[in-house]
Amino acid sequence: MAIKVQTQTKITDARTFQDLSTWSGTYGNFQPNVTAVNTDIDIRNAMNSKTLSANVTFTVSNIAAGRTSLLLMDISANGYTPTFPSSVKWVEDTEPTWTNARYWMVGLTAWDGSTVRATATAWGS
Amino acid sequence: MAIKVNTTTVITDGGILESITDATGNYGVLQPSISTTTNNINFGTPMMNCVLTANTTFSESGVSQGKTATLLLDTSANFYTPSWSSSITWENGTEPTWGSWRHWQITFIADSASDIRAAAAGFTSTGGGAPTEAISLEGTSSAPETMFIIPTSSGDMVAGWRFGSDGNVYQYSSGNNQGGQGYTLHDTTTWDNITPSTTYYIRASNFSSNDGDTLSVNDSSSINTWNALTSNNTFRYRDNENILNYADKWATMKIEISTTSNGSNIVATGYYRVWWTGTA
Repeated sequence: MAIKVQTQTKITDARTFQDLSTWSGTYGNFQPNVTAVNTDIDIRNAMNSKTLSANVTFTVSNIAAGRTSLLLMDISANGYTPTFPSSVKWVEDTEPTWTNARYWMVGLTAWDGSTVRATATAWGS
Repeated sequence: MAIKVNTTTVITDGGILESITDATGNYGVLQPSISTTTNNINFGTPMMNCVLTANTTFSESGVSQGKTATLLLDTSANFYTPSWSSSITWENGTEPTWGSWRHWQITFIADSASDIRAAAAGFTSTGGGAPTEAISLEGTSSAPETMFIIPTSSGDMVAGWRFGSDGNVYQYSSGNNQGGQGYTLHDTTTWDNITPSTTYYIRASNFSSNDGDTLSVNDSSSINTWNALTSNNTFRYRDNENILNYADKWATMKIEISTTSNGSNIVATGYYRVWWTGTA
C-alpha cells in the first residue's frame, strides 16, 4: 500500500519516492538512474547518456537555478559532432573541441532560469 | 498526517523527508534547492549562489567529512575578489586568479571538518582581467593639482578636496561660490583605481599659501592625523574676507596615503590646491 501524506502519495507501491519538497539527512548506496537522451537533455535528470550516431544538436529543458545534470557522451568511432544551444556557456568561454576525444562527461549546472554553465572532461583519443 | 518511524517524523505534512539516516536505491528527478549566501559556505545547503557586492571573505559551516557543496559565484561587473579561510585547499595547490573570469563554479569536498578541498571553473571573460589595485595621488609640490573658485559676496568662500571611501577624488565648492554645487566627481583613477581592497589611511597637512590661509579645522576631517579611508575624508579652506579686499589667493595641502594606521608605509603623496579669485 502506498504511503500518503495528506492524500498525496509520497512512496508508491513500487517504493518510489515522489513529490518530495526537500530531503535532509545522509545517504549511502543511492545512485542516479541513467536516462538515454535523444536530442533533449532534461536537466532534472541527474545522469544522462548518449552515443552519437550522427551529428546532433542538443536542447536543454526544464532549466531552473541550481539544477545539475551529467551527460555521458560517446561521439563514436566516427567522431560525430554535438552542438549545444547558446544557453550553454563553457569553461573559460571555450567550447571543447569534441573530436579531440571520443568519450566525454559533460556537467551542466543551471545558474538561473536560462543560463547553463558547463564543464567537459574527456577520455580516449 | 506526517509519517513517523518509532515516534520520529520521517515525512512531514509538507512533504519533507527528514532525519533520514541512510538511503539506498536509485533516483531520477531529484535536484538540490538553491540557497543564496553572502559570505558563508554552508554544507547543509549544498547548492548555493552568491553575487558579490564588495570584496568578501567566506567562512564555512556545517562541515564534516564527506560532505560536498557547490557555490555559483558571480564576482559582478566590478570583479570583486573573494577570500577564503585557511581550511580550504585549492586544486593543484593554487588558488584561482579570480580577476580572470567573472562567473565561477566552485566545488568543495570536506576531507575533514578542517580540511576542505576545492576546485573552481571560470566562465565569462573579464576582458583582460580585473585591474590591479593602484594607489596614487595627483600634483607635485611645484605643480599642485588645482581647482579654481570664484567667490561671491553672498557668504564665505568654502572649497576643498574629498578623498572618498569609494576610492574616488571629489572637489567641493560651496553654494556661496559662483557655480558652486557641493561635491563633484574629480577623478576615479586616483586615489584608488578600484574600490579599496583594504583599509588605507590618509593624512592632510598644510603645505603652502600666498596669504596665510590654512585648512579649516571646522570644515575638514582631522588634519595632521592618519584617518582611515573607510569613510570619506574632506579637507577644505574657508575664507570670510570680503572679495573686494583681496586679489587672488591660493593654498595648497599635502596629502599622503599609507597602508598602516601610523603612517609607517606611505604609498602615495600628492599636492592639492584651491585657488580663489578676489577683485582688489
